Amino acid sequence: MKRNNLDWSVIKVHTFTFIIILLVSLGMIIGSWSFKEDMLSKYKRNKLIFTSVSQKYLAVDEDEQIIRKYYPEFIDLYKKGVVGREHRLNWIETLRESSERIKLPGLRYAISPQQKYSPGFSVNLGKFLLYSSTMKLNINMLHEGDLSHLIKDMNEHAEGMFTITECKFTRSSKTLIERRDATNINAECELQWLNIRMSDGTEIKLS
Amino acid sequence: MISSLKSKFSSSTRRALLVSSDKLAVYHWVNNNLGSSYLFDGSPEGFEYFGHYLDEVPNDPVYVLLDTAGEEYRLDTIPHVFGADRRAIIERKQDRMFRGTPYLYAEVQGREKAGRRDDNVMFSAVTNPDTIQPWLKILEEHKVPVAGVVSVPLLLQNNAGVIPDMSGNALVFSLQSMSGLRQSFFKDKLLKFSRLVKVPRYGTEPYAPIITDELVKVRRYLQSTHLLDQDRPLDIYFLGNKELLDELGKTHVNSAMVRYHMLDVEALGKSYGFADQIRTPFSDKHLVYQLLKNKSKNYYAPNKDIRYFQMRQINKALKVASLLFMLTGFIWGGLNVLEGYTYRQQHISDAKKADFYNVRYEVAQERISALPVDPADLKVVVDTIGTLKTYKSEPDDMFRLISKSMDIFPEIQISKIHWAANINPNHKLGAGKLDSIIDEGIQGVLGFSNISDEETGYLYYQIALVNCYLNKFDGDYRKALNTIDQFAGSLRRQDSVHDVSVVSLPLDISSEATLQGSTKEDSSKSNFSVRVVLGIKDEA
Repeated sequence: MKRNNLDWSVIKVHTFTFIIILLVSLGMIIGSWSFKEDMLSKYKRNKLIFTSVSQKYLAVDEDEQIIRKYYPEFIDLYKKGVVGREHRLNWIETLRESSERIKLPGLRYAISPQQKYSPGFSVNLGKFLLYSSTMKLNINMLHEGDLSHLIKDMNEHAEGMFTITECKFTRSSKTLIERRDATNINAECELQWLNIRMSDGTEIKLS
Repeated sequence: MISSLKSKFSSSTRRALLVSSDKLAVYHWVNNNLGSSYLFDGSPEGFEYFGHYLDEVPNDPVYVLLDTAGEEYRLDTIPHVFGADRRAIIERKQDRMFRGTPYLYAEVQGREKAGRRDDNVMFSAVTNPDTIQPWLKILEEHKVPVAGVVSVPLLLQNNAGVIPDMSGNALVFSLQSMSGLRQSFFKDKLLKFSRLVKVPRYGTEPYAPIITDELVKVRRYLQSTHLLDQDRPLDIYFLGNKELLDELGKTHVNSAMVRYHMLDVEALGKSYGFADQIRTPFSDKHLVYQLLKNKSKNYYAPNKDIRYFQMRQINKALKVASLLFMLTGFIWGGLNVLEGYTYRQQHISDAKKADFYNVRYEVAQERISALPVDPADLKVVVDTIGTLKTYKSEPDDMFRLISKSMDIFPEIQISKIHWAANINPNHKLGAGKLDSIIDEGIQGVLGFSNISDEETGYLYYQIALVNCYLNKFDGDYRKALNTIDQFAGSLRRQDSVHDVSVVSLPLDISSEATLQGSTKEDSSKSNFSVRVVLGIKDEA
């Protein structure tokens, strides 16, 4: 339709109505869209915060489960000197007491300075290092059962954890002497007292 | 003069103006049928009344049906071209044929069968625009939307409902109260010719003889102009009331080449639900009904005359667009608001949950920070100790093993045991000669074997080098070697024994060794060594 043929008075009401409705509709759409986007943005932000916090909380929860499960044993290991400072005095005392209990004819010991220890098998140590103090025992025994009794006694009373790596048993004489204080067998054993410490040298302390 | 003028005009949705050379009838379309009608004279008074009428009724669209003698039809050919070229040729032809009228129409009606195969075109025009222009001017003054102008013959051609089942050679006779007898010829349903004849006022003279006379004339004309197809019969349709049709039926009998069809306008009206009875022979209402029902398109009116209708269409489009935009705004906006509120609820809920967990996290974090090491490290320490415990070694197992075999062989005495625990079954005990023998893997010694590194399933091994001698040895080496072999065999048969090797004998009888001695040997020469490897499994 040509512009000349248009009668503005006929179409003006509808045209203005259309323009107003168009503007109002656009306003409603833009306004509501803006509101939605604002809410969406807040939702995403809070969702992110919530996810982060909940994950941290879950991680802490998991940590607490680990603590409940392992901390008592850790404390026990600490008290026995397996973790943290080793209890050398206790070892000596236990040796003396055990020797008296078993009535060994003779027992000599020598403890070397603590050194890093490689057990020879795979073990995950994480932030820790494994140390050992080598204890050499020279035992005069009436019979071979004395060593078993000594080891059993030390396992029960000594504060620490040890493993026997080597032993040499030598018969003192071909004839067996049956007196209680007699030495029929001489044993030379090497014990490794194991100890776990932080690899960075930090001392583990319980509050 | 106004006939059937009412003080209150009934409302309608559209209207039809039936225009003759001196009169105008208005028909309203109400409830999908013809409503009230009004008649106006083509005089200054009539124009004034028509103006008053337009002032008082709603401004509904108007369809103009023209039935005037001042309408001409011409058949011509134009070259077979398309688009702007065709329009230009048609406009040129219209200029030549009909000067001084804006009411023009042209229709391409197929192509010639021979020669250049030009297009056949039917040109028509209202050659006397004065019959319609005064009415259209008043309509424009009142801004009445004129949908279009169509003539009775064109309506007959383009509305199948007017003449049902029109045949190939059709001659239609219809009487209109304001204009007279209309005769239109259609070939293959395409208008070829039409003429209007004035008839006496209704009731003064019978119409049947007039129609019969006109039929003779028009048939003669059709034959002279070769418009009539001689191969096919001519179908003649009479539109009228029962009385007229009965009269015509008496004088018009079907023949091989002429067939008569009596179409009762009242019966036709009833067939499409027209409520009023049609007692006169006139087809006005029948034609107007078809015009309004089918909203016939515009044929003659130029854009200027239908601009208010176009503007009405624009207004309608604007209304629809406004409604759509409003709905879109409400729906889209509403959905956005709903979605926004959903997000709002969720973000408030998430914020509350985040606060809830944050408080608990901080409390838990305080507890954890009091630990000497990280929680994960607690597990590492405990697991490490667990692993070390599985490898914790003591010589008791080896003692039990040796004692068991010793009980079987009381003549064998142990002088020395060298014991060690290691994950390597070939672990070197000290640095003595015997160990070098093992390392070199020398064979040929009774019971000796070298241990392979194959997977055995043992966690670690206890290795013992047992130095023995035979008590009360009498110098019988064969017997001694046999005893040692049996002793080694008894060790080997015990559970978890990985390997037993006799590494030295009282008498070295291998081919590589230098063998010397005395037949009076003492028991000090009965020393031998056995290396025992005991496998320790993970008991966990």
